[in-house]
Amino acid sequence: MFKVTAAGSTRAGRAASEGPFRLAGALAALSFVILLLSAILSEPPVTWVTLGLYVVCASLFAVTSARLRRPYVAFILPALSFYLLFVVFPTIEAFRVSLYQWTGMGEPTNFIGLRNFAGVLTSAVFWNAFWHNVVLFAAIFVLQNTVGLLLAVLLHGRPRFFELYRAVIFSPVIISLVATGLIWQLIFGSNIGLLTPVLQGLHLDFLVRDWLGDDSLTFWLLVLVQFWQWMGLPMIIFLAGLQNVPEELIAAARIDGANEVQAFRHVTFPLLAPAFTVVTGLSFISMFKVFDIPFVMAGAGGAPDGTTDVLSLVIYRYAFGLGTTVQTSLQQGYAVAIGVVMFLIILGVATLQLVVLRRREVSL
Amino acid sequence: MTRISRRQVLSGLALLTAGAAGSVLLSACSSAAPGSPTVAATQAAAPPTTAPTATSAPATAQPTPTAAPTAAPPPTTAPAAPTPTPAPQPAASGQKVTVELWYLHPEWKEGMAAVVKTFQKKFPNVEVNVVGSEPSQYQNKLQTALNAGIGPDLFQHPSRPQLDVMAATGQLMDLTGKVDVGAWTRVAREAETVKGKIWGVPGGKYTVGIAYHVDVWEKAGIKDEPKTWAELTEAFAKLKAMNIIPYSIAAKDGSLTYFNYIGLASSVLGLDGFNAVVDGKKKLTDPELVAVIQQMIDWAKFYQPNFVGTAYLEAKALFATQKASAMDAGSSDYNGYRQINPNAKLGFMYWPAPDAQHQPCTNTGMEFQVGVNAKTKNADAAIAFANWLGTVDGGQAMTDNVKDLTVLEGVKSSDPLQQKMLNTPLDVPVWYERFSTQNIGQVWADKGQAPFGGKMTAAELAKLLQESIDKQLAAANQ
Repeated sequence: MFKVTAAGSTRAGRAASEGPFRLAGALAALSFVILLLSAILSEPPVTWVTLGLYVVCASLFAVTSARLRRPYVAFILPALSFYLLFVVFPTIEAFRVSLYQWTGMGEPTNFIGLRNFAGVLTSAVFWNAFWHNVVLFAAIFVLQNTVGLLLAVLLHGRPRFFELYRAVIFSPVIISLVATGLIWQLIFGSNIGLLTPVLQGLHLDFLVRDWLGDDSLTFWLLVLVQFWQWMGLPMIIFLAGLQNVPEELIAAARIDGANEVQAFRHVTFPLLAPAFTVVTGLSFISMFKVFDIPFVMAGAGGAPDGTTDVLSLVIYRYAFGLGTTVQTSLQQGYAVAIGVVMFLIILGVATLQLVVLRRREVSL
Repeated sequence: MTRISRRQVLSGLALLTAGAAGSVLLSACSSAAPGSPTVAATQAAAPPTTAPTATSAPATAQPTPTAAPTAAPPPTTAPAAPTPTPAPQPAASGQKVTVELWYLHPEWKEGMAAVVKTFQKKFPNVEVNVVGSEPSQYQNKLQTALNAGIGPDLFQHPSRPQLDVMAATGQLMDLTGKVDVGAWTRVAREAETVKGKIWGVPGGKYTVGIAYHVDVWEKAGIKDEPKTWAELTEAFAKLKAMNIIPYSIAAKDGSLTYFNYIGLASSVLGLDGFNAVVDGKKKLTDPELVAVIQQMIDWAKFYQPNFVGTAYLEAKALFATQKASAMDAGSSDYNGYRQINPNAKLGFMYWPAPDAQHQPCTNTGMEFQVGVNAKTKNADAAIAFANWLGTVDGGQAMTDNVKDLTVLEGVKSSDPLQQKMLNTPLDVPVWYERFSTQNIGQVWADKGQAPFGGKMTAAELAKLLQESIDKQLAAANQ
């Protein structure tokens, strides 16, 4: 009886102190909505004031949460606020903008419903670029899961200068993408490139091409550069995966008569499934978002003849023009619509990919 | 020792956070509050300053190098007539006002500083902070600032037809009646007038033709500038025979193939023909215009090797270092070439005509147009600078220091090349300054490489170019 009474009074006390907690939470949520609305509708000084209001309300919420032994709120709230403000809100705002015919100047006012999306889905330029993203992903997927895995297996054997090899192979990953594009442009450049004079010096003139102007070649050079840039990442992920494979399982397989290849095929390889999931997911997302290297090496126009066009380049072109001396009309509403379609494609396929690959991991 | 509970620590942290947030808020509010001395100075009663000469006489009739913008989405009325302007009152005496001007020519830094110095002789209380941005970043930077409701007091605004869109957004101040347009040529007034109102001030124009190295051509025995395609072919052959690359071109980004095309096509069309193309009454698929593309393909043997993979800057580098003897060039490119090689002897020739019955020509666009931010807090000072820029004094300062081609009556240039550009026999606007033709550069960037590789005929590319115009015309009629 005593226990029940005590528990009851604790519950009552807790319920009483929940009031300010809920009120502070509601105020924080409300002020956040006001902040978002002011960001869209009002001038910067008003936005600053609403931001201040939100910070005060959020701080109150954090204090009341701490008193209720919910200290995590104070830690989560800043990151959550930034995430909502700078990731979720712009994403939702992008959906809104995609419904307007908008050049990017001033506020979007000419509402055209889904016409931008109809234009995107019937555009040959969009599907051409989309196809290049698909091929780019497929090529990088194959190369990363074969060459990347092979390099990881070789390094897993801890050869001499292991650390040096690992650092050298990984180093392109940390180079700026724009710098990578420029480096390779200096190699393949049509008039200033290094490769052509080197080949000519070696009397291999028959191999000389207009590397960045040959429509049957330039796209594959982009694949090569992308692979060079990202080769170190799958290698490191697979290497980490290999280091997590228990030695005793390999030893047991060997005792059962398996040779090196069989032990790898039937023990190590299946246990690398989580690493495959990560590598595949990352390469899919990065190859569908790819922009910097095609932009630097091939230009905003996807030259030559659209053969290096990818979705991000098309978005850039419609939103900001060609970035050269030639001016064109800007269609930022349409560009955002392409971005929204691209977002949905990446979201859908990446989710599907994760579900399928995780299921495979579980079944193992 | 006093023991501090976890709860107390967390409460303390939360209060600290709240305190810090409050400080941020206060500082944010104080930075947002426009209490700067410059604002106060502007808002203070200003003594009268010398008024610019109010001119009511219209500019003398000029050949009209522009098409009636019937295809532009917001129909534009005739250019505003010159009107007397009130005296700008930039600042109270003794109080300095600083205005900021954004523009997209960082290479003009020294020239613009000299222009500002000249301005300050007349308006000593106005500081003009000029900020140049790379062209690739300028538009994004400017639009982000303007869309956020901030931005510079003055900025280089886009030329038409984008100016039409910007004017409708309310980001530009209506300068009708606030600036003296007496010295403006008709071209200048048309470039700044949308729906009968003035939205900016013309600081200069550029003219595009062919730049060449005079000494290289002389060495190859080319004495007279070619005036027809046949004469240019002959000159190219002489240069090639001497192992000189005759022509540097960039097909990869479509930049120079595009200018080549509009230059050569303009000489075929003339001004009336161009206006007919703009209005949709003449087609780019007509045989004499398909012949322009075919001529460019025929000249491919005179371009540098690998020109299909060459981008604009690479092509410029080839010309600047005399690896190529000629290339498409605008008047504003010459300063850069002289900086690279001060001893370079540069010539300028008009786009050659298809035959002696046609006139060689140039293409001209607006280089530098300055608008006033509608939300500026230093309106008087900003208008004073804009107004001065559009007077003979300002125009002369631009011509002398920035070497921009003037669009003002009464401004003189001592540079023989500039004089030649200004005295062109036929001047046709750059095609992207018209709504219906503004996207054909995109076609050259997207598909302009194909004809040179034999993957598309001249007629097929012409069809794509015409489709781009048709699409714009259809959009304008919606």
